[in-house]
Amino acid sequence: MKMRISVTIEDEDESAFTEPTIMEVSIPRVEAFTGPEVFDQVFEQYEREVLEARNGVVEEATEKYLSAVGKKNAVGVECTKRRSH
Amino acid sequence: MRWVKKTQSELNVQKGEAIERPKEYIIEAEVGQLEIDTFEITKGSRKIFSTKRDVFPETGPREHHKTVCFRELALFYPCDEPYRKSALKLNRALRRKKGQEVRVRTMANLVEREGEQIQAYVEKKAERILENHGWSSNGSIADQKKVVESIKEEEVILAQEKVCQMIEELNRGQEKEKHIDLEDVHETFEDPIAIKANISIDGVCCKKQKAKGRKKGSPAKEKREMVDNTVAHIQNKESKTYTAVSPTVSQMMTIVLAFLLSNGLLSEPGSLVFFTDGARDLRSAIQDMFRFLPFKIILDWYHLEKKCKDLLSMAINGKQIKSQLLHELLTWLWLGKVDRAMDLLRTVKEDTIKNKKELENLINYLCRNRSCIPCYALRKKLGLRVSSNQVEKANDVVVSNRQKHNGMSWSAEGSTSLATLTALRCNGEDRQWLLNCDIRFQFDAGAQKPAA
Repeated sequence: MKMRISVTIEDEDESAFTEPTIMEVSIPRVEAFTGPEVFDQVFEQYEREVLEARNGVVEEATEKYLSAVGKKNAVGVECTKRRSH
Repeated sequence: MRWVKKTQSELNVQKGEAIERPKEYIIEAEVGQLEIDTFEITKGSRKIFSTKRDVFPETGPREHHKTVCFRELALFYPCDEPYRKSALKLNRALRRKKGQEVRVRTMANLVEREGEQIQAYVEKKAERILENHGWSSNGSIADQKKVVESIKEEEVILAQEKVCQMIEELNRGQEKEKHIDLEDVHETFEDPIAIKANISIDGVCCKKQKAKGRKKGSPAKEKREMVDNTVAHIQNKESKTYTAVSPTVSQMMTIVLAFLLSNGLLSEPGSLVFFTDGARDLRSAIQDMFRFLPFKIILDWYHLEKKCKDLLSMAINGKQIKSQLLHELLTWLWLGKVDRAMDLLRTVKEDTIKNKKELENLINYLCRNRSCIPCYALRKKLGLRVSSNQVEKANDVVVSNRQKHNGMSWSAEGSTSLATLTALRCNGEDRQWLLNCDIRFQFDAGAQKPAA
């Protein structure tokens, strides 16, 4: 079984600010939860994988977001310099 | 049974009355506080299916189930920091919303309950190991044949030439009376690369929580009550270590014996050496439990030195005389010449004695521990241990660093539980316990991946 986590960052006008970040992670099948005695072990696999994926996907999306922030500001500085010359 | 939301048709098939209980089962997880819908199918008054019972682990009324990842944080944060700080840290790390925060009391209860479960599990496991090897659960021998198969009495000692050579080196340049004579040295010197185990045991106490506050005007208690824990540090010939904690000395002896048996250490040739601080209860407990094979008890040098210093300080007048006497006393004891040390104390001039009783106490102490006082100088020269410092360090790590601070007081269960969890983590058994509720009871348990 897979969980797909997708992160999209959009401008106010709902246009894409960065390209979407998608991460897929394997999670235990529902049939694996055969009873209370295995619940903790099976759910631990789920939780660990999902937490890692969640952190990974947000990290990647944030990198893209901040790169875009940096790029925008760099353009702004260039313009200012040109004006001062 | 499948962990799926049953459709109405599925429920009808079972021809029972289906009851849906929205958001009834609450799980505390690292991903958040999860409120899960549950289902029950009843036939008459009989409950034939319940997700709360047949799919999820059963919980008490108003109790939230805690996942492995959540327990990992909630149980081990308090091992390093006070509960209040741990709760703040946990709520911050999990970004818990208002109303969903983990409470301080919840964490304390969780630690206490889990610690008690670990203690009970270790006790059961130790009893099972003892029974499998021919002992009864209280440590007495039940099946002589099995016991004989489990132990090897053979000692491996250092070659006499090596010992003689070291004695010669130590005697070189020393006054005649301070010479070590091989004939006077009664103990054997274990080969450090062929030992069964070096075991250091010590008790550690912290202040006991008062049952209720003192009433105004009531007399203060003479002595503050303490909570005792016993810590054992077991080291094998490869210097791998294991730390055990228990609330009583007798329980600790059972755990130590079971650990040695389950790791096959008693069936290896070599010496079994105990290092203690000279506490009478420890010594008698060791002697009672391990009387079936030869072992050595060595009195820790630091404690011997401290005891001499403390008792002489109370017994003798005059700073200079006292320090001179102490120096001479320690010189004899370092050489393992206990008789000379006692003679020295017996011949102290009457006019320098401040408290004769304390002097007698010191003589009695040396007399009582004579068999545990080796020739420290020679042991040190041979590269053998003379100290129980490993268990002192273990005491700090599992109890003192967390539990011995100003204003702190503990219930017996709270103190032992916290120490048990800290030791569990030190031994690398934490994942195994959280995932499988099992303890491997082995050196380097953390190096092996727990079976999920």
